[in-house]
Amino acid sequence: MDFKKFLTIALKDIRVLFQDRATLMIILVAPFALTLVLGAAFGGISTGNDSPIKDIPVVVVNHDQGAMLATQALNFGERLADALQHVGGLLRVEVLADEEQARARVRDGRAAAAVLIPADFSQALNPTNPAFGDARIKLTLFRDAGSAISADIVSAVVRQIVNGFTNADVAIYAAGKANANPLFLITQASAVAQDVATRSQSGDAPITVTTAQTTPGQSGPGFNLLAFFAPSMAVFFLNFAMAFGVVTILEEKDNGTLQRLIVSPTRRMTILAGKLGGTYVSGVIQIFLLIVATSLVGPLLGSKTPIWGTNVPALVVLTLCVVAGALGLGTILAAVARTRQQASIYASAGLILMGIVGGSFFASGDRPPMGIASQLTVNYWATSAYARLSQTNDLMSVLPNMAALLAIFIVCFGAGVYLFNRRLDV
Amino acid sequence: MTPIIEIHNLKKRYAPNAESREGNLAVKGINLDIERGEIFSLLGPNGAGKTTTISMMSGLLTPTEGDVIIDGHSIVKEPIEVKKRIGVVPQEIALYPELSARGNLEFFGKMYGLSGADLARRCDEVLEFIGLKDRQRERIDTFSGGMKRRVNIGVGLLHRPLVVFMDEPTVGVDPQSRRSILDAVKELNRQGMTVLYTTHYMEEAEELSDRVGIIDHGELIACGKEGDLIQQVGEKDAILLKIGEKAAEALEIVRRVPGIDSATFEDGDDGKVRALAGRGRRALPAVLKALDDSGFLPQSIEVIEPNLESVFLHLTGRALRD
Repeated sequence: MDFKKFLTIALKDIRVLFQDRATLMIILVAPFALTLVLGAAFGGISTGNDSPIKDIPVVVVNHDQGAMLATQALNFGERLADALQHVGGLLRVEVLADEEQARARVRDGRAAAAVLIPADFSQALNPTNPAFGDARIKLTLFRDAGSAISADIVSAVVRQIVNGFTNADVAIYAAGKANANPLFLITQASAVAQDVATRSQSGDAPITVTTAQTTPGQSGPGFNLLAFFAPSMAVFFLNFAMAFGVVTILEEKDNGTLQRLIVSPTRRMTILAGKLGGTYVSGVIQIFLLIVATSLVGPLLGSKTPIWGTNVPALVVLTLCVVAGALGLGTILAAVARTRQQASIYASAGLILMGIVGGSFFASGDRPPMGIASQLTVNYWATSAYARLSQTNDLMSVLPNMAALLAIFIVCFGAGVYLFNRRLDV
Repeated sequence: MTPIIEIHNLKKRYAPNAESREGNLAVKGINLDIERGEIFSLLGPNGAGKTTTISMMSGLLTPTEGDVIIDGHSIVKEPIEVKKRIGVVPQEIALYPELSARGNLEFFGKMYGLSGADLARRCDEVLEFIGLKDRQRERIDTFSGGMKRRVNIGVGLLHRPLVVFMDEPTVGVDPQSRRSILDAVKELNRQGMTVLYTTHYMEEAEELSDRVGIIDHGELIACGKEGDLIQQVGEKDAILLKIGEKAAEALEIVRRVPGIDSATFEDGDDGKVRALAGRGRRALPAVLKALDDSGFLPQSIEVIEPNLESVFLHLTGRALRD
């Protein structure tokens, strides 16, 4: 392949693309504007997680030594953890042994809260314990400041369960006393319950739930809507730019300039490579311009964390893979068409569908919104990769996404180039 | 001397489609040599196979059979070497509308391997030749049709080709621009370029060509100098005389004039006599004298010498423009 001619063709296409105002509106202005509009419309561009009110991640560290109730060995800590598991799918509980590891999970944003159960939890709740009613145990809830609502939900559930334990204990205590004195239940149980209630309200209950939380801004970032919409819109419009960039091959055939290139002493693969290379570079430039623009605007709109993350080399590598995937997709969409008009129709319909299926318009975290169908789209793999990279700043965390994007590129691009090469026999 | 272009049994069959199960045989085996430095016109009606022939010769289409040797290089086996030596001026405007005239020349110049100072100089020369030096920085989409045609031609000449293929370059062009294009072709030939010029305009072929090839339904049905072709088909000069009344009597008088081979009434007009003669201009005075002696005064007189149109008509039974 003649590299000088390849470069000439590619640079000409890049220059023509970026000189065309209508094209710039589509590839730069539209995604930028949509990012701002959608981010503002969904209420709070900056942190505040609360989109998935199910499967809230919680870690539990159970130091509870247990207690003997009559002849029964009980571990209320285990029962608390078990109860948290069965709150109708609301929480996703993981039990850890190490408290520091649990706190680290919260700081990293991988858990909304950590429930730290003290060693004497069961003892405090043991109604046969002579000190029952006098023991004061503090159960610690370590919350993620960046996931306020999720942490609140966890806190509410924990308190309810603990209160339930306390109330049950009162009943057992009262029943125990009743065994000794049948009148106790009538004359004293209500007084005991009243006493426990009073102590709870005054903060003097046997079990109190205390909270600590991560320092705002230093915790896991939670969910940042701008960090979702900026890449999702960038990728959505990138797909269009790539497809329409490839369609220019058919446009050149209609205009006769493709034929001019073919009758020049230039190999057909050089022509094709130049056209596709120019489209690829245009896509990379497009994404980086959007990254810069949204990064500059993000803090002005209240985004407390860099919406694309801080690992620039990783961002570059990921972007190269994203644009490759988009180019592959654009190539096959354009190559299956026989005419420019047909290609435009296929590309528009296909890419809008992929945007919807791939989750470009609604956040779903790491989960593909439509299962396998989403995983066939560049949109899903690219958007989730950018979101994860912005949180972890770790290129390794998006390796599966990059692999998927490169696989899409290889398959689609290969098939598309084969079809185009046949079409070059004009 | 070895011809600069040798065409050997060139054929092209297009892929089968709904209209043709076997595929259309657009070019049916053309054999032709073109000498270095000549202007050769390929004359034929629309759909005759001219563009398909040029497309195969320029490497745009792959021949189904046969080969084209240009300056000793085969288009089938050495397409890149051939393309270095040829320039192509397509029938349709093939330029980038977003680029300027100079931008188009520079871009395509690079595709032909030109660069640096040589490219700049050559662009200046071509812009001068096509008369657009003062508008070189303006975008093509601001140009008139004639101006675009000139740039279209300029791109084909940039790399100083040995041979230039011009595929109907004057179609849809105003008379002034047409004149400029024809003059440019002659100038290029004067500079030593071999020109293969396709057209369905007989007048262009007659004005420009050293030799003419007549193509119809994918076959080269005649080839040679214009005069030789006319003589080959035996076409005679026609003298047309509008007589009016008593035209039958006038017809008999004309038939008896020495030098007149035959005389009939013109098709569909009994008042008009068509007389054929080997040399119409020589026979005309005798015809007029004979009519005058008998008291006839023709209302109009016309001498039509045979041309390529009549050669085509003779060979195919159809007019070039049918």
